[in-house]
Amino acid sequence: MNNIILVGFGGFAGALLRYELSKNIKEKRTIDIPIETFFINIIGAFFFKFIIKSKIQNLF
Amino acid sequence: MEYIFVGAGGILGAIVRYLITVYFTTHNPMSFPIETLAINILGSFLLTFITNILIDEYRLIFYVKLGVTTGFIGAFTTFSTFSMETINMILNGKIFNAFLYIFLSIAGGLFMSYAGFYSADKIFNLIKKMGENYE
Repeated sequence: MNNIILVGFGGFAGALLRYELSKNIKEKRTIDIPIETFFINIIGAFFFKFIIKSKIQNLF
Repeated sequence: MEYIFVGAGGILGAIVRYLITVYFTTHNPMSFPIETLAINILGSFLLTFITNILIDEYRLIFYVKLGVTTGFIGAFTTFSTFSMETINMILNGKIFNAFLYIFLSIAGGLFMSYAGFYSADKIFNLIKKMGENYE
């Protein structure tokens, strides 16, 4: 049950962050390529592997 | 208002994905990440289907659509897990599996996106036709 609450919290924060980032980048972009989705996917891929590999969760 | 819908969709999407992943990994422990593949392919279908079947005619529909697409499907599908699992397969020497996974994810995602668009279009036209006949 604790896991589900944490996952839900992460989903909430992630969805809002993605929405806000996507909206801001979309407003500023000048080319007709969805660079906001590209940027979010690349950053997400980096952080996901980084967090797993760094074992930062063991600190808590 | 939009933040509430996006946030609520995000909570649901993340929980559904977590439950599917837990189910797959406990009932079908394979080295190939079939759960992420299934989630991403299903998400690709749902995104184009919902985007094309719901028209932003009313403000509420706009918020529901935003919550389902950006919130729910955004949290449900995962590009980062796909990338990480591919890298893990390559690092473990499973090169064939890695390329198969890349191919299935991209080709499957594109195909299901098109299937979502096509089926939404067909259903939308059918409903419209039924409405016209009713009038």
